[in-house]
Amino acid sequence: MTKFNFKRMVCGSLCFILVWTLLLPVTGRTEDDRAHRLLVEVDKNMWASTKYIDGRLIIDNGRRVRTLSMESWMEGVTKSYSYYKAPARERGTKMLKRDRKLWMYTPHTDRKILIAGHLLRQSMMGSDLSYEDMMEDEKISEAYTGTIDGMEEMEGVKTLVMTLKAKRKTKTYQTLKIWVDPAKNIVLKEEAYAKSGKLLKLIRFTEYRKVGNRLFPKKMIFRDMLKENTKTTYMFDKIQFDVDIPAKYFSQRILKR
Amino acid sequence: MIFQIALKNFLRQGMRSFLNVLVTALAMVAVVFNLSLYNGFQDQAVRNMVSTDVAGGHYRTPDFDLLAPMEWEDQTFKIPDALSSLPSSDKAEVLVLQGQIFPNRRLFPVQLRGMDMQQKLLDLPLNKLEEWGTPVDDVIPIIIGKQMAGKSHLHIGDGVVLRWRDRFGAVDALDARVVDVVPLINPRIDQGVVWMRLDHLRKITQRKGEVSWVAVKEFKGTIAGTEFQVPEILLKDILDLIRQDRKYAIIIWVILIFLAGISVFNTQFLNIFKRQREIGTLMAFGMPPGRVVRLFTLEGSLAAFSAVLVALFLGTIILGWFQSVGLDVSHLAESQIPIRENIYLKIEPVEVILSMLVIVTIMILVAWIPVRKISKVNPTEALRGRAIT
Amino acid sequence: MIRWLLKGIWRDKTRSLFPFLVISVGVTLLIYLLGFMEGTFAGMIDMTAHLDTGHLRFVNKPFYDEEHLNPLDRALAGQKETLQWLQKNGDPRIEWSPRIRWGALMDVPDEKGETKSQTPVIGMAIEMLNINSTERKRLDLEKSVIEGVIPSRAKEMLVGYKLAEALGLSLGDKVTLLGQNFDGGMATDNYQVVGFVKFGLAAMDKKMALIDLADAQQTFYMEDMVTDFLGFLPKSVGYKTYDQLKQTIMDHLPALKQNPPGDWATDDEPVILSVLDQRNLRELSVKFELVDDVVIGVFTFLMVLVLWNAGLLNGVHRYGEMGLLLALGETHKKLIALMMLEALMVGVLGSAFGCLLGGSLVYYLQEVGVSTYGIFETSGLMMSDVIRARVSLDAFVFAVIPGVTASVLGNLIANLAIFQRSEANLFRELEAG
Repeated sequence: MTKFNFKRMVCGSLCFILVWTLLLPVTGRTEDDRAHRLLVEVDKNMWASTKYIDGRLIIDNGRRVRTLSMESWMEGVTKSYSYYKAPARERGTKMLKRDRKLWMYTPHTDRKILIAGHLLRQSMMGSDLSYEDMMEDEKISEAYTGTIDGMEEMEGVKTLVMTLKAKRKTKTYQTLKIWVDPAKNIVLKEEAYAKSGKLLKLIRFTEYRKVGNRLFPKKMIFRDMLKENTKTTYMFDKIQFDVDIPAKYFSQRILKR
Repeated sequence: MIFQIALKNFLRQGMRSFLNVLVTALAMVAVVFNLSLYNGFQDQAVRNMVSTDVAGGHYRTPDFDLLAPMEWEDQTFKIPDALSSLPSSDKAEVLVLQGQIFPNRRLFPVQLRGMDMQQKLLDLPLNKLEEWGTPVDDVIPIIIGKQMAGKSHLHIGDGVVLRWRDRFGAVDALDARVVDVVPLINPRIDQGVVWMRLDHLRKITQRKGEVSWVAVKEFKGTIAGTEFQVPEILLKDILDLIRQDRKYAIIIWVILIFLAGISVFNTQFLNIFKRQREIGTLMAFGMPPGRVVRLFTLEGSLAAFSAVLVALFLGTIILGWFQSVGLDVSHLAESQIPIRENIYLKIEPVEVILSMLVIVTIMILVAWIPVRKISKVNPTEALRGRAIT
Repeated sequence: MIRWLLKGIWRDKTRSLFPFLVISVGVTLLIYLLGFMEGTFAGMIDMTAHLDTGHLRFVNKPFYDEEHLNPLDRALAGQKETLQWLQKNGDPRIEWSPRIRWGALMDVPDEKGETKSQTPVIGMAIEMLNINSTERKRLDLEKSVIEGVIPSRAKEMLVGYKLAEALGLSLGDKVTLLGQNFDGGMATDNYQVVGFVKFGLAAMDKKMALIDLADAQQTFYMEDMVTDFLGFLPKSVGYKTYDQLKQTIMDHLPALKQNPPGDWATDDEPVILSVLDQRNLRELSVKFELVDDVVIGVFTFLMVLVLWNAGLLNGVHRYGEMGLLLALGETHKKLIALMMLEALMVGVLGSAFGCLLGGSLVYYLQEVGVSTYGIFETSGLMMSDVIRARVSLDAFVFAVIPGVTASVLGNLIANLAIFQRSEANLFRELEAG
């Protein structure tokens, strides 16, 4: 489930690019309309019916670097299940997200703990991401309205800069800004802003590679811009789309030894 | 008649009587001083809490708990008309929410406390906030207490990023500027607290008209959806602390009175040794033993009676001087006790009279105990100085 | 001569017993008062020290700076090695207790194991499983645990009674802690609630949980690590010496930083703090001493007056005797010297007895204390319901000086009157007395 969110962002950005290229020649539409269609297409590309990820979360708090490795299965946007393989201490930890609820299971306690309400805002496993960040369960085109700001060169790549405004006031991040490589149809960077416009989080997408008919990054790097020297890197070592996932993975019964 | 003899005897003892009077008087002054100091102390501690936070009680939601920060945002309410219509001298609207500041780019969770700027009920040094003219679009003015400044390493004029959630849960952040660092007498409104203008806090969190509690001058009757917290509950910790201190004060003044008592007792005890012949003579002339006892007791008690006069005189000088200076206890502002500035005595007439009465009674008692055996004295033995050995 | 005086003192009780008693009682009271004042403040310091800061605290500076966040990743490793170093380089009277300050989410399950209630708690981990643990006594757990028992097995927990109320806990319930471990990773563990504790401080009673140190090290993956080493000193060591003891350790710190325990992180920077450095107790102690001095001054003054009076009475009592001695050919000077010597002896004896009495009283209060539970209404403040006092050398000095001098001076003033009176007059007093 952890990956779920990252993936959403990644795929969202990817789809957006795709759509952007499709729509670019079309004339007679307003910018906003084009932006929206872009986001829709992004989502289409991003949300496969099911997904499987074998990845690592590398958490650097400025002094110490920890690596968690886990497998995740996702169905649509609302269901996700993760199983932690390493390190030894976290091994066997399971997280199940379903219907806006998050349960955590640890073999050591043999308990499933419901993480709900304001507790979701706490940092997940000491990373720069909160549980809530991981809980994102909305398609980008449904949650945000986009506008195109213009072109910008980033690391030698001409990118398209786009501002996304949340449609609902309850969205944690009311404003996102994304940098898209229109040539490759990929998102290179995403920034999350406070309502006031203050930069809060920065996500870099790097080392894109082809997975099936999609381009997918190998790495996502998250930074909390209010804190010093912290960084969380999500490595997608293996990713598969449209896989068969046993129903029990999304049932509470999975949360036991 | 008895009184005149006793007075004459008393005065003739010269220095010895004077010392007894002085000791007793000083003990009285010390006791009254001590009691009044505690009164002043308690008064000021309570007054400070009342004037900065508690007022005449709070209207809040039944489930509000200041020790459960995560729930603060769910325990706000729209201020009811019954309260909002009160004049600014009778109520203070307060909104308390969770926030984070990032001094040196390190996380520091804080309590954001929005204080109504129009209110005249609470006395808080927040005028720098009031003076802030510009809207909060770019920078939010904040005030922190001295202890908080120390812990967060922030100074006047420093900028710091402030992050919070609005009513809908969206994250927001802005630069805040410390416009003042103030000495807040009450640690509970200092440690971990960031003071803001209520209108600012409401605006940035989109909580128009919302409060966490309304401090009022006095109980305004039950108001649906709220619970009234009386000052005694809000002040419980501090009242307990003072009560605890006060009982220790009793020990000190018991010792003081004991000391004065010894002096009088000693005098009386030696008197009857030394003046057996006098006792014998009085009895031989027909004075009943009981009367002799009364005479001697009265003589001894005169120390106490005179002491009351001397104490009044000394006390007026000493206490008067103290009232003009006050006791500097500014250090306590940093401790757990909400006291600032100087402490003045609070002299409770009833207490003064009561403690004087207690001391005088004890003195009469110790003047009587050594001489009571006179009643059993054989006058002839006494005349020879052999009655009491 | 002295023997003759001693004999006089012993045989003529009227001339010796009363001054002796007055001096003894005065000195006793003064010692008690001084001990009591010191004890009251020391008691306050001790309460903070026991619950929170120790008399001395050895802690990693990065942890101390962000104490409000309980950053376990800034704990100090090499517990045994560090402890040995502290024992070697600190005063041998210091008793070091390792502790862990932690914070976590406490989750209470229902019968089905589903989350019933949860809340963030702050906690302290202390060595408490051993029945002889000094920490148990230090926190006065026997008395503070108002329901249930003190943990005796691993993974047992004490929780604040108000916290228990809020979470709907019963004794014997299992709760799960969910927090961050030393790495910043997730730490979860089950504990059994065996007792409810009441410290009398709302913040603690509402949010506090106590677990055993070894359990915490296991739960938070902090093997051989602690956040604090708290140093505790016996009551005989006054709080004024804490700074000195701290300095001794501080002097050795550079050497430790040069050659730190192998498990320490490179940026670990331990600091040593005295209880006075924390919670603003230093300023409080300065002002306390001022008040202390005033009280002692007033009391000593009163005491001198009382003793002076006693000396006067004694002198007057013996005018006759003096007249006799003068009549027998003794010189005035010698007579006064004689009286002085006698007064000195009475003063010394009285003071000695007063010291003994006052000292034992204060010592008893220091070691045992008198519980005032019955006398005063319980205020809910832990430990401070016991009247305590402290033995200190200062008190004896402060008490003996007025004890002896007042006796001598009182006599001197009284005897000066001898010069003003004729022998005949004095002799008449003999007949009268």
